[in-house]
Amino acid sequence: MQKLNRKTYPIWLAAPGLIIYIIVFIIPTFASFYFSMTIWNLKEARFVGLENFITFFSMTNTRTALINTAIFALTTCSVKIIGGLLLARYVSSGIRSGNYLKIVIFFPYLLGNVVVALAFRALLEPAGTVNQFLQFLGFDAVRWLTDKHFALLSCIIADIWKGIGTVTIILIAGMCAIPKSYYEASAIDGATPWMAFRKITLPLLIPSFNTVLTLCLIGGLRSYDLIQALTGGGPGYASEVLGTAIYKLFARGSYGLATAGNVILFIAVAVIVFPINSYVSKREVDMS
Amino acid sequence: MIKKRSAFSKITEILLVALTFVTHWLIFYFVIVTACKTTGEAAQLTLKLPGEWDLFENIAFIFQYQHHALLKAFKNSAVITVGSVLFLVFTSSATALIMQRRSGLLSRASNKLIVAGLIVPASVIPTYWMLNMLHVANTLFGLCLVEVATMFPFAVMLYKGYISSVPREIDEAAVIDGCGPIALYTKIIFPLIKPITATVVILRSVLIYNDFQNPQYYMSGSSTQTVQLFVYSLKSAWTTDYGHLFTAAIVVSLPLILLYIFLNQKILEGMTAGSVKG
Repeated sequence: MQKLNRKTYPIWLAAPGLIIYIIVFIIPTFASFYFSMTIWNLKEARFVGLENFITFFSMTNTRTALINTAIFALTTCSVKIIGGLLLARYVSSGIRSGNYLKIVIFFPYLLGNVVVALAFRALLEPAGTVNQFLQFLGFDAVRWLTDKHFALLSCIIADIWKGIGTVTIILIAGMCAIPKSYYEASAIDGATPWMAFRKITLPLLIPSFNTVLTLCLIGGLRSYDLIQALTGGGPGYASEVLGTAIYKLFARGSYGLATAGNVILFIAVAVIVFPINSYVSKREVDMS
Repeated sequence: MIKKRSAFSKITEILLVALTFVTHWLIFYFVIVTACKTTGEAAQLTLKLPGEWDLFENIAFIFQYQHHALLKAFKNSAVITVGSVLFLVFTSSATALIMQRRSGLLSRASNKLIVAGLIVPASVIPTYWMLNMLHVANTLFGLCLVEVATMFPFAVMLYKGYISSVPREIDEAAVIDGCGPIALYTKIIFPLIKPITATVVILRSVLIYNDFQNPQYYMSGSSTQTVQLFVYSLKSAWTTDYGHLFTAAIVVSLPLILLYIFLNQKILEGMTAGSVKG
């Protein structure tokens, strides 16, 4: 049988994919640990130890980037998940407009980040549509993209607008997989909808919840496109995140330093996402 | 759950639908209407209907801009999207088949590597360095390799999950009937896993077509553009010429918008594949 297995499922059939993956993804990932400790021009690398990391943590723009990335990931993640949970709970309760809401809320996912950024830029211009509306209501205009207190917030809003649909859709699918009989039984026992939501929906939703949590955290920590196209990290470093900071270092040729930034991102993802992921998985309950 | 809905629930529903008119339809309307305006009128950024409908002039303008750069960008995006997705489908389904069916050390080792790849962010500059060594940096082929490698873990996981539901007895019957490994894969397994292939094709095409970061890094040394890079370059060149910018944004997004109009149920279903247990 073992021999038949080897003949029927030969390794070489798996090889093309694995080879591309190892060469273009795995090896560069390991190489990044070395290159992050060098001064590097893509051809020659001079080993300098942890100097790049010290520089990365001491430069204002990269330090700001670290803090902003944390703020960005946390806020987008929590708003998307809490909003997504409420929306999903509501849309999957069998309302007539459920399908319409799903289709519309999910739509921005289909747009490129550059396109979304363009639309938000026009809306948020100093004399843009949002400010015209605010002034019409008698408020002061806000410099959404050029005021350092608002730039990151604007990016966060745009990111939530684009991403909340995905979260909602995945949570709806998770809710639909929960057998209806549980709710019927709990209703007979006199549970209120809120109790049913807390005691049935939430515990049984953990697999999908875990998926969206992981997706949102990774997406938030890695975010680059939208912010680069909306504010470019500005004004100053007000909306700089790791992604945009790394690109700036890449563009000016500081490859070693930029790779150190990448390694920091790698560590942040590993330290934050893996433990949360396994912690949430442990709370999974069996549905059968 | 058959019970009378409360008034509260009905009011929430109406409010929610009304909210989408502000948060979504108003934005779509604004983008479309602005794309129809002349440069001067578009610059006012109002929600008014255009005084002079200029949509076709705008479309003609962006297509002619810089010697039809947009057409070239469309061609490049098509090559990257189709090329990467085809490549991805064949490599990842073959790998998934072998990994699912064999239980040796190699299977377990590759499984670890692939699960890690689901979470870990790509290291951009070492990847560029690798492409450089392979002499494919700044080429469409190199970009395709990167897209395939980035999407590989997720596609393999999807395929593995789906292949585990294909009974081994089918394989055994095929082997007894004289199928070699290639015939088994192409004639028996591949047709059986078509539904998940459809999911992979649609969802990954969207991501690759919309990708901005990878082309920006790995094509930076070449004049070749994708549609997303094209729109981004217009943004820097025209700054606030929103009439033309939005025309470009719409034209570039149109293929995916059409896809969504016809296949929205399929896309919504595919989105959740692999995320729900059971």
